[in-house]
Amino acid sequence: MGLLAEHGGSGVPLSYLLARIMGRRAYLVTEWQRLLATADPLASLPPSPYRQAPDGGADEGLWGSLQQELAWVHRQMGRSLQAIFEPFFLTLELRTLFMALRLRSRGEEGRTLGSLLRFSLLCAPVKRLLREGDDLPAIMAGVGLHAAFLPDGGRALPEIMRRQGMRGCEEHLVDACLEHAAANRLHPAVAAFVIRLIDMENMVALAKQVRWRMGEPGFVAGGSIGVALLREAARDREGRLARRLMGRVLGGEADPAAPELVPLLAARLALALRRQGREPDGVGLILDYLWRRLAETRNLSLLLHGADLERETLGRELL
Amino acid sequence: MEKVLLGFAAALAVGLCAIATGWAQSRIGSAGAGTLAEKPELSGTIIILLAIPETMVILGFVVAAMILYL
Repeated sequence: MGLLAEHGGSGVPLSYLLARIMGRRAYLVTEWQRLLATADPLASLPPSPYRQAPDGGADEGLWGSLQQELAWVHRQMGRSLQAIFEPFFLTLELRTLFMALRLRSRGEEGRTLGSLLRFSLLCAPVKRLLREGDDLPAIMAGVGLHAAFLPDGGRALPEIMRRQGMRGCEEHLVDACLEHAAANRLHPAVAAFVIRLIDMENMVALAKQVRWRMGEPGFVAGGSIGVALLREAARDREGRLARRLMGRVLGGEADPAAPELVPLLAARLALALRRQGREPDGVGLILDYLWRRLAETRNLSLLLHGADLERETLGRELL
Repeated sequence: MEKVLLGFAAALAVGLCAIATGWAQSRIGSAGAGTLAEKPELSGTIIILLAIPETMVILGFVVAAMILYL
């Protein structure tokens, strides 16, 4: 039993899917700084049939069209390709799961929850649980039954939900999912992506620790830097080791207190994905497209909500 | 015996070229279908690209004819 829905069949031929993705890729925004220089960046967006314009001040349409696109790519894949991309989709759908749980906990069930789950790749029993489950610990217990990557079969989830709340539960699930993916044999492009994603999580946790010293941070195993070394860097009060490790991940010297750490890490990841996209087997190209589509939606959401911010600040935050 | 060998050589010349053409067209065809789904205005280009591997089997046929009749 997995958390993701299974779309049966052998899917479309890979060369067909790659051609369609390359066609869709042409609609992605590439010149963010040029867009930012215009008077109204959102109004100056190049037209695209695959991107829904922000509706008023809300970004639900943006994220909805991203979900729709991800679901379309997933449906086009055969079982074997779906299995290759499982860590990628699973990491994203865990975010959907917790967004749905937050909506439930705030009592916003009706239309918003429905539209969130409409194009979600979560399997039908989990979607049903999210719609009809009694309370959050009961829903988490049900989710745990489907989360095959959890070492204890998800038995600890309701307890984590009670003790640490939604945030603790989300961290536990995402970390376990990434650790499980990193420990398994994956396609080289997906494996490199997972390692960089873990590095990103760990570097952000390390930067927070160096800046704010909030107790022992939880690092994810399986990245390019071992957990023992990360813990040692987190204990170093001067932050010298943290700077060196960040320099190793980012290439060059890096400041753990720099505010643009996440965009820098994401830029390194995007660069690596673009390079992998040139590999002839197509997996890197699909991964690169999905990531760029995700980054585009995040950037548009940022432009929408950060309209009052200075352009320079926005420019630093864009992926 | 010589005739058998000539016939076999001609069959190989046209058969291998046909297999190669079929393989190339299957790849170009599926990629072309994907391209057409996104950009229907490229149909002329796709038809030309799809026809290019045909030259392989035509040349194979010419070589087979030369083997048999020259």
